Amino acid sequence: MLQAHYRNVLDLSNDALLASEKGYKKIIEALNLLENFKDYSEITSNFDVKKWVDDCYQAMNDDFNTPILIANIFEAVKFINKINVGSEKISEKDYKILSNTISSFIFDVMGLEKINISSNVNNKLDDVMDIILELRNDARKNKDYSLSDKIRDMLKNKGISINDSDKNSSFTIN
Amino acid sequence: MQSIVQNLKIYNSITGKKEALSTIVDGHVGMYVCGPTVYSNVHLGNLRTFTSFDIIYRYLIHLGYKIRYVRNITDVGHLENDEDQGEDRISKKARLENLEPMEVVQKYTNDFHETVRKFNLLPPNIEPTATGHILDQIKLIQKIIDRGVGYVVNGSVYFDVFEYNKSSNYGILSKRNLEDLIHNSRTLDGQSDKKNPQDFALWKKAEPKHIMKWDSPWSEGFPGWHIECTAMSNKYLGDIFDIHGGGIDLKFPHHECEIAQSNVCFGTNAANYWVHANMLTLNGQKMSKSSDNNILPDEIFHQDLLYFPKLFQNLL
Repeated sequence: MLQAHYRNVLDLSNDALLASEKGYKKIIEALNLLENFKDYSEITSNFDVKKWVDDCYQAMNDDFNTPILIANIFEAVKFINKINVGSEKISEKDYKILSNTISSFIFDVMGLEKINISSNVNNKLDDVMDIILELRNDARKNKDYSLSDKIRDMLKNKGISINDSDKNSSFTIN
Repeated sequence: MQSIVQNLKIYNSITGKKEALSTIVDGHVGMYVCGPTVYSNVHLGNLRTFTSFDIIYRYLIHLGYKIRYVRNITDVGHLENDEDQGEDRISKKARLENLEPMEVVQKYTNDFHETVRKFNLLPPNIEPTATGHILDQIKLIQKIIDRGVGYVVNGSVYFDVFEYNKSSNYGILSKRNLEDLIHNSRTLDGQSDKKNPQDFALWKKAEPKHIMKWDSPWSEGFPGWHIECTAMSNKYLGDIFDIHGGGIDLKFPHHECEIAQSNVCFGTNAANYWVHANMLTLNGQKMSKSSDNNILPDEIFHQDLLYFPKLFQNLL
């Protein structure tokens, strides 16, 4: 849903934002892959990097057609993902052109900011909470309710609520 | 890179066509974008306009152009409706909130700056305020009077659209025909000093309750909204510059009036390319401050979605 040219009406909706969120993550993930990539080949397979660069400029030269630019970027994202799993190859020269062009369009032209995708941080928090919840459940199994209540209350003080069900416990951040 | 620059096409609202961008000075671009009226929090529809021009600005920089990007702050003179009726938006807010008007201006200018920063929009090179350019506006109004296209009634000054239309084309941008405008306009309720409802205010005499006013040769009053942008764009970009932008809702009357003023004062349409960004709708409906179909930028900054502003820009 990255589809509105500046001269067209743009409709904002939850679905549009969610689709946009997904797309953004995909792009940033592909850029991370690209950054760490070193496994060049002699030649590039099945992707004309020079034509791709021209297509990006052509899109923007056609009255700043960002939806087409973004569609092109997703073509590159697909290709990057394929290189990553080894089903396509890229030469060092093409790699440099591809990564320079894609970064300048995403960061300089579209003005997106690279954020160390917070899901990394959130995942770590999830991991830590899993450990805490497991320890607390052990305490409950051992009928050590003063410990399990203490954990619950301390978390609550920090704005994290534990929700116990019959089978397991989960948490929400207030 | 040269061939890329030569191939850049931009849609010009005056001609209704995509045209190759040919700048007045090779390698340089002068761009003016109508900025926010700072009487309330900036809403997402405004942000869409500024984001659209941010991408244009960024792409031109990327191509190697040297750009002077001027985006103003409208801090006086924007009335509640387009027929020069109603209260000044900032003045009204100041009265309602019991604040000095400049406090209102500062509060919402700060909000605007904070929000555009969150959306990672590049700041313009010059951000002039209308109240900082009252003398420039008075000079232009005098020029329009001297050239026989402005008239003074009871301390207010109006632009004579019919006089202008004799030698020029009022409607060149909006493609509205003056005849049609006559048929479609409401008769004013007798309070107006205008010769014709289509005329627009260059200077308004302040009523006693009005709190934002300046001395002028005609009355203690305040400038019309349209003359502000003509004065500020001309001061920093010259009699003719490359790109004039704004939201599509400003095409008429605001931009049409700017073109008329510029033709009288400088003999130009102000800019060679008039560019308009379209509206933002929410769930298929026009966003409006008065209905519930409205969200503020901050409402999409949710703690779970730290990169929402970027997504929004992405979406645009």
